Amino acid sequence: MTLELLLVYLAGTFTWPASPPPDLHAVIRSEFVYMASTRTTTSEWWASDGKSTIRQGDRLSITREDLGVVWRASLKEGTYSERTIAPAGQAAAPPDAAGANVDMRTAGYDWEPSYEWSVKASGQSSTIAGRACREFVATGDADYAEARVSFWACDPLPGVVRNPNDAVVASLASRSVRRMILETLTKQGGAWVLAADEQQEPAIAPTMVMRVRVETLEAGAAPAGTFDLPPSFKKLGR
Amino acid sequence: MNASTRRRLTALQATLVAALPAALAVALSAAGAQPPAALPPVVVGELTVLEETYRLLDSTAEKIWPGWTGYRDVPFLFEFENRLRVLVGHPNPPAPFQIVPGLAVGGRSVAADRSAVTGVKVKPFLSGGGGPINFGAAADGTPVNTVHISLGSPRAPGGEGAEAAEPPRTEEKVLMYLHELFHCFQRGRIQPRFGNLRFNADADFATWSQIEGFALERAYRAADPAAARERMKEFTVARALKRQSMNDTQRNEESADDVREGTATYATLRALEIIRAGGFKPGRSGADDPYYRGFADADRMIASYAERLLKSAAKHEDPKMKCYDYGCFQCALAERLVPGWQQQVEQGKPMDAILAGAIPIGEGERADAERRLRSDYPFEEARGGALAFTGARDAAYRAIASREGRVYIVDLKPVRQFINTLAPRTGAYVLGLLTLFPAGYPGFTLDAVELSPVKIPCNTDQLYYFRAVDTESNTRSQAYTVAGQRQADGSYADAVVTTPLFTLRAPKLRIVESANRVKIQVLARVKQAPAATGSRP
Repeated sequence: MTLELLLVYLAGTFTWPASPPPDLHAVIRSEFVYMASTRTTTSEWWASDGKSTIRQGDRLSITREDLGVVWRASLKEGTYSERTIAPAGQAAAPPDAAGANVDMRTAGYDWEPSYEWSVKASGQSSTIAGRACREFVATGDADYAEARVSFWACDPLPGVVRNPNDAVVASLASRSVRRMILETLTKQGGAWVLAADEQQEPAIAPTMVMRVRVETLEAGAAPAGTFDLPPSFKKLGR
Repeated sequence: MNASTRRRLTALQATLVAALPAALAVALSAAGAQPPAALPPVVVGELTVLEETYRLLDSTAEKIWPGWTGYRDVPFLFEFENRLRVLVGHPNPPAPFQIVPGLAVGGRSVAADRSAVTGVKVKPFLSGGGGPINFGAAADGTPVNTVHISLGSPRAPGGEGAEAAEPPRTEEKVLMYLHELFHCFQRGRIQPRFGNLRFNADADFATWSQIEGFALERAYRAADPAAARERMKEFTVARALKRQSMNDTQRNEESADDVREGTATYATLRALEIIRAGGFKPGRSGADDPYYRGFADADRMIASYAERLLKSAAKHEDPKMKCYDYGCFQCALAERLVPGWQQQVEQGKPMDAILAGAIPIGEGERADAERRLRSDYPFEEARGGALAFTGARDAAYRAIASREGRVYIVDLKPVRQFINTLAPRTGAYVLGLLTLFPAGYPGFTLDAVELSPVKIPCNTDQLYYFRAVDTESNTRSQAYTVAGQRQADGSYADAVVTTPLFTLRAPKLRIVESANRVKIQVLARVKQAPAATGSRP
């Protein structure tokens, strides 16, 4: 019996006491193709209710929504930095397009493509990390950039509260791409994205390609300490 | 490579290409491949400038910065205006680069990518710029740190990068390559922990930044070390006053930029000083290259660094660019006043901190220094200029940002053309990556591409793009008209696009239209020669 079936069985069998939903674990492989070279990275990601952690080589990032902090740690150096995060659901103020209240000291630097998207289901289907998936293809046009994205919307693992979507789309280049994928997934009844390719013609740089794919996906209990900093780690800064 | 070597190599290439054994030619033909051709003489001539850079570094590198070796191991990627790309010394040239037979620079192989070559003419004098990038990968997959250089024709007077009144000279290119090679030397050795400054001057910043630059120049000119130290105290106080507009990150970024670009600029200044002292024998002459005088005017070139420092001080746009001159002269002063400063830089300490540490300012001295900065320097004049500049720039930004209506964009990225080199910027203001033209844009001609003048407030942005907003678009029945030959891929050949704001002509372009935006992508700047007819062997 697979772990997934076991969880479904257990979920159906026991109604009391209410056991917490299982944690979610994914191994995510991403590629960045730029200037005739490819950089490949593999990340290990865990999520629980209000917590997530992602490890990439000797770098570790732990998000504790329950504590309102993000820790970024170097496993090699045994150090970490901490920043606070806004309460869930609090959106950033929209930019002031007319320039009335712009900070002139930083104006003109932060152009971010806001694509106009055309999104279509390609009709292709596949199985990724054991889940049934449908492909979507999107083309985006912005003032100074263009993008072509394909991504796979997949059936969620049953009984799991968290989804891996934020962790998967984090490897993609622009906020507009990430937002478009997440909005499409919502329209698809809360599907999970388990693979995506983004080809971007950015404003200034040569063509970039980002590819991301979930290699492993499973529900289960995270090892003890997964969402905590090792106690010996030293905090950086004042 | 001297002239005779270069000529010999050029002849050798021609011989190799012409005398390819028949069997090899047949084999290549059968495989559908073509033997790589020789590079044009103008391109080979450009590569020899790199040879001269190596020769200069052989004489100066260790004197510029202890431990600077390995410069001959760094590959160069040259990108010419016609999209020809040439790689020198790359361990594993990626496709579609092909080794150019019989050609070497500094004993290292040369490979060329002709896959995107256009009909744009490449002719001397070529100038350009660039920087280190990772390009391709070694056989083991490791990215290859490469100096990327784009070379093109001189640009419109008054345009970005135009050298007013300076005759073109190859010496500047030798120093540019030396500068970029120093950046490669910095990797793993001189690595500031902060990113690039992204900051526009406000009036306070602009004022104190100008005074700070003047103090640095006076310190450099000071006759004796004691006087130089006094001026450096003024520099330190002016910098602190300037930085009241900045947050901690921005302060650290500015110091980091001074280290990154200042040390690399200082490397070129030190090289010139060594040349002036007789420490370099040129390997090529004016007979090889009419733009080269073997650094005969090294004195004049050294003097131009201090002149540039003063010009840089008085320039309020793009404060990041001051790091080249301010950083360079902090190095020069540290060389004079702080023994062992280079080791401190390698340990992560920026020059401004090194100088401030070595030349401490007493409690009572700080107020005195500020008083001198206000009385012994042209403070009021600087303040007036700064207020006028920032006021006009901010008004220009608001005038352009508040325009609402249909957006027109001319995109030169497909032809890799920086837009700010094409037209004079008289009356324009730089803000971040924007260049604001509050009184309209003068238009430009680039080979067969012509953009007419635009008579409304508008801007360029992000290196490649022109942008204008038609505030009366809701009164118009058509966004544009286009004349030309429509191609199967939706582009137009020999096209003329007429909009309410401007007319654009181009040999090839594409129009991407959405609800409130018309984006015109220029796909070619010269007419392409018709495809050859007949069969190839």
